[in-house]
Amino acid sequence: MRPEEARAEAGRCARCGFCEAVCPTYNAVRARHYGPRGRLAMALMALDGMAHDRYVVESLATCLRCRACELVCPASIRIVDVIAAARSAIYEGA
Amino acid sequence: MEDWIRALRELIVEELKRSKFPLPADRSICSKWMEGMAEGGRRILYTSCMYQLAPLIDKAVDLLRAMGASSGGARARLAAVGAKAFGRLVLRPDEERLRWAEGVLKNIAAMLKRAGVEFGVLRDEPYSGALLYELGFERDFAEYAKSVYAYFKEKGVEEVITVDPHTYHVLSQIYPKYVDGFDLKVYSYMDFVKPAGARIRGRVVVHDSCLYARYLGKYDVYRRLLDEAGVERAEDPYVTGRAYSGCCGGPIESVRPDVSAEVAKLRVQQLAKLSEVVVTECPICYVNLSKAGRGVVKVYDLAEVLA
Ligand code: SF4
Ligand code: SF4
Repeated sequence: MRPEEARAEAGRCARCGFCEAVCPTYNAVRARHYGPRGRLAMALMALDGMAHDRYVVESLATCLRCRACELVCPASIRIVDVIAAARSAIYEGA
Repeated sequence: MEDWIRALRELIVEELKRSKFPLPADRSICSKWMEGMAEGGRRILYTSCMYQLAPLIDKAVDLLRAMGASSGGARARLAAVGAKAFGRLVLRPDEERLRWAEGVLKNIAAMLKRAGVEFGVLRDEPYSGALLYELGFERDFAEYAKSVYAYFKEKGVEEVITVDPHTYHVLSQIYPKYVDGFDLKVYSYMDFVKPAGARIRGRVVVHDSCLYARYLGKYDVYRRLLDEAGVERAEDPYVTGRAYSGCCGGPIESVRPDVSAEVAKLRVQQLAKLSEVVVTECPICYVNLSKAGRGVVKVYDLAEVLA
């Protein structure tokens, strides 16, 4: 997913939080940036150049890509692709 | 954490360049199970060394954790230095785990033969590179994937039967995006086998591989195989439903082993509510849940259960 596309996709999040119930890392850590909703917010930050913030890196690097969140998201956001695009922005400096 | 991730990438990329294997290990563990099998041919059974490798990830992660990989900050920087030394080690899985991996693979081969599927094996098969893709090192993955594809082409391979979800996923869905002209036909052994019975008794709970269940449309396939084998399944939409069938934590084991272990522990607790016998279809799930579930659940691979 291209950065612009990822930004638009993340921007569709209604912040309802339904996705957090199924997210294994959110359930393990109970911190917002370890859940899908938080990761979308962190992805936006990464795509806006805050790639070196500790919480942003931690949030995006710990997604399991398990896709549980996508199955329950009422907005059908392609959450994993957004996270992957933001992660590439950090890792590859793209 | 960034320092650690950079170190991890370097470690994996270097090792792949050197040995076509993501961890410093004795490569003979990949092919030992192939004794007596035909070499090569147009259709091959490709393990990507995943079953043989999974017990090593366990070991590597213990080492990494000892080096401070999970703590972040200054200790992670130290761990980054340690990773260089780590690359010079030669890891070897426990004999018991190695026998387990060989047993699973031999049974898969036997079931395929019984189903009338002809295939060969490649004793120097390279690793698929899945780990690079999954950790997010896409450029490194793209480069490596091209070399693996060239290897298959040189060997005259046209069809590949995979044994695990990670290899099946990258070969069937990701390689075509990164490798020009990719034309291998990719299957899972589950597409062919017809179980005649089961090797275990009693009710089991299925732990889904995220990839098989939510990326590759296999959620019903291994359930059907278990049904055909006469194995009773305990299901609960909040434990084994498509969205709630949670991850084992494996994908972030090398990034944050502490979080990964907590994810596995929670998953074991959920599964244990339904049965003490857990069936996995992925070697990484198997290793992770076995470790987290010691004394609580007994974990089997699907290919250990089917006969
Ligand atoms: S379920 Fe979808 S819309 Fe709701 S918070 Fe999660 S990502 Fe956003
Ligand atoms: S894909 Fe990532 S964000 Fe979504 S549920 Fe899994 S771990 Fe959480």
